[in-house]
Amino acid sequence: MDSRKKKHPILWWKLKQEIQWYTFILPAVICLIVLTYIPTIQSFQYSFYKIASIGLNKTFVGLKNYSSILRHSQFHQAVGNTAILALLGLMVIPLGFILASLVNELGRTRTQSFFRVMFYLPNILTGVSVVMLFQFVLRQSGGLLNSFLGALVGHEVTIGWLVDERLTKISATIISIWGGLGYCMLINLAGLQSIPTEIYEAASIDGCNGISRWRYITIPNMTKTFSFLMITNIIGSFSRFTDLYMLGGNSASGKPGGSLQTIMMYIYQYSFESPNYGISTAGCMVLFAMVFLITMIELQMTGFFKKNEA
Amino acid sequence: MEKILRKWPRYVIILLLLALLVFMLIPVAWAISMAFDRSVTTFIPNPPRLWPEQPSLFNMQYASTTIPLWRYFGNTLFVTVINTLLSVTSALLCGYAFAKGTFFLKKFWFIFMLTVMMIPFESRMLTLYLQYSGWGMNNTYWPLILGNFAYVYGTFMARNNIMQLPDALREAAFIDGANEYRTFFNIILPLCGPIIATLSILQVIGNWNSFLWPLIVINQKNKYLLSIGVALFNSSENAMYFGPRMAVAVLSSVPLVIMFVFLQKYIVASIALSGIKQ
Amino acid sequence: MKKWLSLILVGVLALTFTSVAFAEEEYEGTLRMMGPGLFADVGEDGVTDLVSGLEKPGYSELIALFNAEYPNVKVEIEAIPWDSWQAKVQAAVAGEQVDLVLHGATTTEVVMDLTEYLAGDPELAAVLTATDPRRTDESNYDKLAITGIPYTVGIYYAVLDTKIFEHYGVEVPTAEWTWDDLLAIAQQLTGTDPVTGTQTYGVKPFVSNDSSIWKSYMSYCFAKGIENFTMAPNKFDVTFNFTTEAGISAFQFMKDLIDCTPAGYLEGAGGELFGQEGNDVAICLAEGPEGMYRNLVAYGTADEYVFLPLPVQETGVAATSGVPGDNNMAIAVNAARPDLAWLFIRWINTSEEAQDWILRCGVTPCSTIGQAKMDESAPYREAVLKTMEGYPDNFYYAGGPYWDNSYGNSNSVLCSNLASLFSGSITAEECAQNVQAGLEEWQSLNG
Repeated sequence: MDSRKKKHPILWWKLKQEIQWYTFILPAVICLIVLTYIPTIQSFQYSFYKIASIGLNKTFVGLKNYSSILRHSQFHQAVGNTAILALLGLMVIPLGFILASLVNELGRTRTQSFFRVMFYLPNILTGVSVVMLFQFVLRQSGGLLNSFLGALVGHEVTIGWLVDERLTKISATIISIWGGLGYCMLINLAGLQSIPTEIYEAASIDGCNGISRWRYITIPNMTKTFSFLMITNIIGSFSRFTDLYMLGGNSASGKPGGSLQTIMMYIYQYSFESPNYGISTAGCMVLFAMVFLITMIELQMTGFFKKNEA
Repeated sequence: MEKILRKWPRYVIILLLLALLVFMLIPVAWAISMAFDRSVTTFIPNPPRLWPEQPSLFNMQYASTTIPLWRYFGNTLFVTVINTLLSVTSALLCGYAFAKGTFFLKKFWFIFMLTVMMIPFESRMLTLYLQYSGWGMNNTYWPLILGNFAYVYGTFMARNNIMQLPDALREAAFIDGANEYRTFFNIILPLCGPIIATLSILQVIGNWNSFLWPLIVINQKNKYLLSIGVALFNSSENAMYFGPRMAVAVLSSVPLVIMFVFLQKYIVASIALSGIKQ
Repeated sequence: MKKWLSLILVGVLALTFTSVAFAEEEYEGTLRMMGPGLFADVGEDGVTDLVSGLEKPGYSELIALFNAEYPNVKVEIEAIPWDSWQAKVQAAVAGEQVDLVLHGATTTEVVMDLTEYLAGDPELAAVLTATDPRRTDESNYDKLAITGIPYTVGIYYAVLDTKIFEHYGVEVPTAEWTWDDLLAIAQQLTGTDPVTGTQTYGVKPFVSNDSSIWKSYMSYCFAKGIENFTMAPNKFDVTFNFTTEAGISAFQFMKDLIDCTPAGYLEGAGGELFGQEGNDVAICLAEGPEGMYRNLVAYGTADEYVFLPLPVQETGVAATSGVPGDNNMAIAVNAARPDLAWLFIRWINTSEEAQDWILRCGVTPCSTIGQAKMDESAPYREAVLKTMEGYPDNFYYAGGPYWDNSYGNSNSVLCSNLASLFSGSITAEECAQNVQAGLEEWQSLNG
């Protein structure tokens, strides 16, 4: 051994280096292979079978599960719901921007710190508690919102925020905006504060003021922040589960009327509530394809594929 | 926008913001008042009150006897702490390796980790559950913990961060005869304070709130995590009384709020940091 | 020498064989159970009901009683909550980890057909008041297999607040009432109470969550003999009749019924004060009267309430349109010890001590042995006996022809549409069309 070491000291040293580095990443890699790749590949496999019950009874059906899903009106509704909820959820970005602009006006003072912290508070509360709270706020009879509206219009208001299937998406959006506004505001604020003041000074020297300043300087500099928030929001909306599950009465059927059922909940329903694993794994694969596509778009937009990044 | 705002005196802006803040936080105040209100049992006071009519701790007591609330706290704390330790450690180790290391197939493994981020958890949820079930790990905490040996998002953030540390530090350590491990622990790690804080905070909040996966994995009532216990209490037969439901909702948020109050500067700063770094 | 040895050998062998023959009377081995239901509700060590103070025994007591008779059978129980229980049970069976599936009758793919077992056990068959037949074969859809044996039953019943009847001067109905009577009474009792001047409501049907909202509808169809499904030997040839006049009338009836319900019904509100001072709901429909009765006793108002079975079944198939929900037991298809599982199933339904345990849990046993021991003074006793005695053999209320919940997510479709119907966003006709379309779509996608 020693003689070999002496003959190829550099090679030996390099090998040692390689092993050392690999020990850094080995646990993570093993974890990912066993707990992420293998289940995903299994999911992919299962999607081609009709499975009466796991491990007991499966028959190969090729692409039948996919065609069933793509023709299933409930799945279409789930895709539609996911898209609408995702788009509605994007409203939090302009709201956060407005709020951040207001807070930014205060300059870096303690008041600004105070508002930064207090607006972030709703985001800290546990998700489950927030949904429970809003189940009461949005109650048809006796809920906070209806009482407030009733006080405004003068007579009793009984809008079924959570039971009328036309309104449930709005209610779900209210909940997500309430919880997410603080985070959005902080990110916007960080973005606003990273625009160097020299640009503003230079612009005002050139006579650019007011609205045009806003249009030509602030907004373009915020595009990176906006796109970050947009993508994060959209990808996050794919895995949105807790609040919609609880609003549906602790079930994944998207009550009422399936109006709150997203693709994610559709998969859950067919995995755990009325098990049909062929369908649910096919749904998983469709979901994966969608998320993959969107992530690819995001990476392209943020320039990840430029040579100097990897 | 700035011109319009500049016309308004400062105090108007502050008033506006305060009004908005109060409007947003009213539901929280309402919840707290109902949690401490003895008379909120089978109906919600209409019109809503912001101050309890019969202040008492009854709701809290009722809640803690109906469900093992403190047990849930303990469970959640246990899982959160372990998960945070594991995942942040993993993120730092891998981040360092990808930032400064040179090893065979480094690029491949990097892309490997990247693609994992794109596989939504839901896609593998069912088969992962079946896998754990086959190993007999059903109804234990292993499925909640083992997945944290890899923290991909954290790895990327750590990598970005560590890449900015000068190479000179490493070279100096080498000259002194240190190997990679020593370099990592003694030199790099102490400089990673902010990123450790950021990742830890993200992990704590994420784990405290995690709902779906524990829901599927855990069967036994006394092993539940807080979020599940609260959700199931909300819809169970015993949940006729609104007061205890509000009490449970309020109680389960208290630890995070306490943490927030003490660490708010760090939390807010790290959130902003994670945004800019994109 | 050799002769002696061989004699001794033969003697030893003979002894072994005879002792084995006798030992076969002794059951031994391990019996593994898993599933949701009553055992999960009471837990290992029992619970105390918060309202009535009833102390329910835990399942460890039950196992102790079992072991008193069969000391060599080791019982392992894993009682899980109702959340995603079907997937968990299926995963457990796939992993060969369970012999007896608690509440396994609905997970038909993983449990055995018990018809043979039951045919060979007349002692058990004699005491059972119901079984769990299911249609397990899609190409042989009119054949029923018994997939589970119930051990408790929770009948669908109605409970009436006689005070409200008195105030309005309406006569309290008898057990021979019909659904039309119920609707008429509910409409009469919805309005302003002449005595107290407060708003009262006629009826609160089954709880509005997904697991119960369909029960009112199904019971009505059962009562009127509205056959929404025309059965056929092949599941994919079954035709649906929701959009016929009779089918639509059922949905319309439900809508009329909901007009007599407190606001907030869909959110699970309304009727919170039932049984207490200030109750504003006259009739409540629910499942499992024992708990309700105990609460009434705890509130001290038990005298003011009357328990009735659901209205009569009008086509002579059964005595009432109330059906029994149940807790049941099934045997896993790959059970290591199906004999032990059957032993336990038989024991829990025939042993006096087991029946006592069930009664102490505050529920009604399925076996006649336990039902005979029901509290004589319990006002729901009549309702239970009438429902169970008139209940047809080999009938599953959610296995067609009135309603069938095995068409994929058909239950979810029905519940969603009922909720929309109740909230007023669709009409009865549209509701019927949606349900019909949903089921037909399932057929075309899976056929």
